[in-house]
Amino acid sequence: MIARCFIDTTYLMPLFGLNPSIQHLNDQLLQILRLDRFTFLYSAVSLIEIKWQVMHLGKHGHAIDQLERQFSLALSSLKIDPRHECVDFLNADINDLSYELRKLGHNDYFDTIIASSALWEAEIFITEDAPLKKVCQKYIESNQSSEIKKIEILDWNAFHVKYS
Amino acid sequence: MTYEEFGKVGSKGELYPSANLRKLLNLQPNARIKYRISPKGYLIVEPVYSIEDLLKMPPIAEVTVEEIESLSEKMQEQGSSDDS
Repeated sequence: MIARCFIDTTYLMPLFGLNPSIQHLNDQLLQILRLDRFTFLYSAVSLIEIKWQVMHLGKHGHAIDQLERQFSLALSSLKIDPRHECVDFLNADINDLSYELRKLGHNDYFDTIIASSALWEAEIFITEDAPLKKVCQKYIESNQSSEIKKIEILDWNAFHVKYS
Repeated sequence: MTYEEFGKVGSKGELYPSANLRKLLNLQPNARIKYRISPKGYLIVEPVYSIEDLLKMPPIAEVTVEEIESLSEKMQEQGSSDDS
């Protein structure tokens, strides 16, 4: 059975030529992809975060032409890859839940959009963001009877150890 | 590098890039490609890499998870600031 696994911005970055300093991430991503056990979901806001990073690097001396070229290549690859699915943030349920997470104390709008998309859409959410993980768990514990299904929240290392 | 060659549209609308053109663009059998029409009306054919191909490419820049987070927060703050 294919599990729906929501990935935070960090794990998309290698596709865009950015190394997020997680040891062996690319090799482990390749290894996980070979298993054919997951559909990887990501938020459209992650692409905006990566674009900001690309623009920032360009302003600070990195090869902007190369980064922009890679950005376009990655967009096309993500679009045709059947194992990756983009989750739109123009969605009232995702917006409402994002607001609930902000009320619980997590003030980063993009983070809460990513987390609420994961809570609505996936069975597994992978993030390195410990405060975000905490606020999601707080929400789940205080809303046991809500429509949100059970979700496993892991960082990359824990995910890789458990599922590879 | 610029290159041009002439061809003919097939009876069913097919376009056949020559062997030389395929070699220049490294278009392998079964490779995915993308067609685009430019604003000037040119047909652009580009190879589309697999996710696996992208992951095997050397990184262009190093960025820590903290740097990504911090820049995103900064951009959001700018966007929601009363002064903006």
